[in-house]
Amino acid sequence: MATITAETLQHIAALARLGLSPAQCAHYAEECAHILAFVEQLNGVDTTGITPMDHADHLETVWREDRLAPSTQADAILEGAPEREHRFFIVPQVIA
Amino acid sequence: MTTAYEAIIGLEVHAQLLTTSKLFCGCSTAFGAPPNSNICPVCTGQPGALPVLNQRAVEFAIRAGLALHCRIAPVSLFARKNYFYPDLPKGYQISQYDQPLCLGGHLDISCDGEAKRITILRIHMEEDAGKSTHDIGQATTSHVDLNRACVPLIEIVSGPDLRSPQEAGQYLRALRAILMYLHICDGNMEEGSLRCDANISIRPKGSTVFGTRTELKNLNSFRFLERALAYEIERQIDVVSAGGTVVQETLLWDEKRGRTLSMRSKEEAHDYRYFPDPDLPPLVVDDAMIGAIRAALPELPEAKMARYTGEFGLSAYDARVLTSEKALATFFEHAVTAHRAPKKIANWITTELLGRLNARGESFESLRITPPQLAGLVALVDEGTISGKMAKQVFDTMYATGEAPQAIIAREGLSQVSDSAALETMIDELLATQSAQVAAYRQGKTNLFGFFVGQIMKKTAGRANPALVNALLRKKLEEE
Amino acid sequence: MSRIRTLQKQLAAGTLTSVALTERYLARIREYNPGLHAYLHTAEAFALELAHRADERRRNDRDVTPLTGIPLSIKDVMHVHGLPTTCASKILEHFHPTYHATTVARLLDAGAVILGKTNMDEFAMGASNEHSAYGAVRNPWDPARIPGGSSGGSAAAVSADLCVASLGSDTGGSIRQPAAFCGIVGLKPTYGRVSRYGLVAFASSLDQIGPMTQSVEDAALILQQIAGHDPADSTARNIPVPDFSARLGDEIAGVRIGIPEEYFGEGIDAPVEATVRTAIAHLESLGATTVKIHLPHTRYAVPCYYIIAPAEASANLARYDGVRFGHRAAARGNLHDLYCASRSEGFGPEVTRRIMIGTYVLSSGYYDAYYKKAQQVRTLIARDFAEAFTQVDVICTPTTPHVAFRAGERLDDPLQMYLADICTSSCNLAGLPGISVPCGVNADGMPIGLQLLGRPMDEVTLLQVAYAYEQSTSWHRHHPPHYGIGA
Repeated sequence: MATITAETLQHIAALARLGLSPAQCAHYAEECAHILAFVEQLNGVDTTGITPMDHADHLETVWREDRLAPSTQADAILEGAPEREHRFFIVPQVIA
Repeated sequence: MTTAYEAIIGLEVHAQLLTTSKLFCGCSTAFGAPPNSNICPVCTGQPGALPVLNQRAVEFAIRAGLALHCRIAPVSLFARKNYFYPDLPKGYQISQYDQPLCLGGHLDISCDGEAKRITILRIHMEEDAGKSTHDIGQATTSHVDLNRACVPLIEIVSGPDLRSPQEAGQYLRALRAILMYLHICDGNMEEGSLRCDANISIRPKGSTVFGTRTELKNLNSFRFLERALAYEIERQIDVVSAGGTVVQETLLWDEKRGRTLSMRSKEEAHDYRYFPDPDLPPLVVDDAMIGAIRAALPELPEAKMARYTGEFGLSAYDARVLTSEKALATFFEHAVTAHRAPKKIANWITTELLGRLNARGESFESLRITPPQLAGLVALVDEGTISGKMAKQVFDTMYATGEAPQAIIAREGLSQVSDSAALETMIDELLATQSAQVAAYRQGKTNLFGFFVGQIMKKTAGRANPALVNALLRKKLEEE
Repeated sequence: MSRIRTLQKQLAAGTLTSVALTERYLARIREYNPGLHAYLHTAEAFALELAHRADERRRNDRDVTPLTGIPLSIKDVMHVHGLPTTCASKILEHFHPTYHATTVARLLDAGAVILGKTNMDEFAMGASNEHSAYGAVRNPWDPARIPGGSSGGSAAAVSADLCVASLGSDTGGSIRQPAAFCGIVGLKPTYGRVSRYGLVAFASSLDQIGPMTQSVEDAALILQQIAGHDPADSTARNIPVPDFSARLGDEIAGVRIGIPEEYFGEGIDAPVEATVRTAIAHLESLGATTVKIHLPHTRYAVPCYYIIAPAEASANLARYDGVRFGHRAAARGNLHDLYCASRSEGFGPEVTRRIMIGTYVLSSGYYDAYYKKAQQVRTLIARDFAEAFTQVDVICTPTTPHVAFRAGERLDDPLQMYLADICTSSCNLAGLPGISVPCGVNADGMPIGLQLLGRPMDEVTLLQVAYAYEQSTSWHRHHPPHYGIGA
């Protein structure tokens, strides 16, 4: 069975920007290990030379003409922001 | 640079494409709009919004690919590059990854008079991020403007073929020129339409293995690029010479302090978790589309150079200088159309015009002289209306004011005196008052000839036609 | 006659107005929703305004469609401009979309009335509706049981007649499975048949919007209105939309129905299997030919799904970062802390679990072993179907391996919960259309669903067979007791 260390889980949680307590980490590590062990059944399938199906079948390239379609929603979008100043979204200072 | 080492440099250049609308939505790409005004659900990553590809952006990317001799992939893919940043609305950037649109081209540059071929590894399409500003209002917050989010970019990745900061500079100049020739990027590095990152390592000369490389970011002018590379090469040599090892890291060029700074952060190491974007079907371009784009390509620097040296008989040097920027070549061609004297016009541009621009650190865009004006000036010299010397004087005024040469000549009374009767009278008067000199000349002191010419020029304030003065003087001095 | 057709007849005759009908539904919602919790948000004023307009439209005899004046509900994962969209998540607790989903816009264009937004598993992740951040939905047939998920609120609302029909979304069975558990019809169209614009994405290569209705004909009528190309969705295919009702009522003699052995036996409850086999025999009695087929990669569908769906979800849910919309943690700190706090406060345990799995399978060093492998197996699953459809016109299976289970029964075992998708997820992986129709009840009186799968873009045949089955049986006339239906 796949094992996921608390360290790996912490790394994954950080990548996904999820703040988990040590207890939650231990809990999710166990659950994720179970789920991964389950999905690892796929190792039983010979997929040599099989093209991955990244998209649904039959999809064709779809184009847009390069034309302005200015949205009227800019102000409404800004109003939906949890915090803003003037016309900016604001966040804690990004350390450059 | 210590000669025991050589530098290995590769550039990643991001060019903003000159489309009207963004890469995946209909918002404007215009620079300078009020913050967060050119935004919509798609480019702000609102839940449920989906991307639709801008056809012209693809055409522009293919233009770049063809001009840089790349193979255009019949099928390419958009992927999601996952990372969190306030100016990245979806938490991923849509970018091409392992199946880019253009592969394997090259760009020929000239360095110290020698041609060098630089490999282009790939060109891929991606969306730009927004802009975080750190210096508005309180120091504890950053401000995010998403006007730029989703603007189309191409990233052009060179091979590790560049060996010096100067070569890197030449490569970037040549690349910028081509993008501007193609009308796909405005080349404005100040506004960020063209951005450059560099990968750099050093190795002992003669070695064939690569050293550990660092990535230099924020090289947003030719000056920054060359200075930063020179600094970083020295830094790496110092590290290695002192017995240390270069650490693989991302560095930021700090122009004010003239040094590179490590971008070390407490955050997790990047793991972008690329995977094909299920919202965008594979990008399929057929031969007909590629053919149509190829057929519509403008004349590029290489072809122009060949034409200038062939058809116009210019020197290779002049041809290279004139084709180094599209605006310059266009200026030259317009001038030649107005007055077909390509060599003379080329000479005026490369010496007088570029000389003044360089000396004053001014840009070609700020130039006041128009091509027909320069052509007119050359024509006036050819017709004998003004002397070459006067022409330079007129050119100074044209450069400063943007006036037409005819207007300057008329106002300042600069037109050449070619009236032989008037000149003859003037010469007679001169010789009559300078009998001693005339006698000395006639006794063999022929180097006095210049003295007589000078006197006439002085009387006419330099406007006398020198050839005519010479002929008339010689005749008068030798006739008795 | 279908529910929508019946109501249309009354509306056309003037014996009913849309306002009266809407008021009746709003009253039913007030009465029964507190017990069922099928709706997260009821939009009384909004609905009545739409009903007024529909009545006016009918009076002026202007653009009357089969949906004009018909009260519907929308799963709270699609945007209705003017109403909140929460996805049953705390992270979108006060979120108001700035635009309509394309499907919603098309329903409104047709004159439909929207009663409100239905409950669901958070971000459509779940099979029981117990993963709603705003409380679980109950099954109208037995309040101690779950209604299925993730479109459980829609299924319960249609089943208890708290709306005429509903729009759900289906990523691994989220329309069909709750439809089966609640004894209604649920149709997942072919991937690319219906625009996803304005559907909050869970797994973009699998998500599809579809109708949940009281009858097959109603499903055809709603699909007619929402299907077709949308310039705002690059995956919504630009191909002609057929008349989905064209073959309703046609005989199914000669239609070849594939019976995949892999969907029967192990893992399927005996009463469910027996009921579905009876339904298949019934289809044979209507003249259809049954053919034994093999879909050898069936058992890999669920593991395959539980790699691909979380992977896509991990990226789709990255935008909930507390910067531009949605929940933002109150605690001040640096940017990283703000992200982590906002997201962990906003997402429930199942969503967190899937983001973790999805992030893991895409992370450096694991991509090939998990994600790429799963996409390769997906190719094999799609090939199994393509091969089968050279021999048969539709494929018939149980919709679920069992009837609706009791609330709380599987909450602590995510894997057991995932196995509820065992019969439905391969359809999404292959991008096929699928429908669930009621085909019986078990000893406890809980509904059982018959699943039909069709060729890509062949919803017409699927609906023809489903209709033939439905109209020759009486299961669609069974309603949960205690909700005053038919009274």
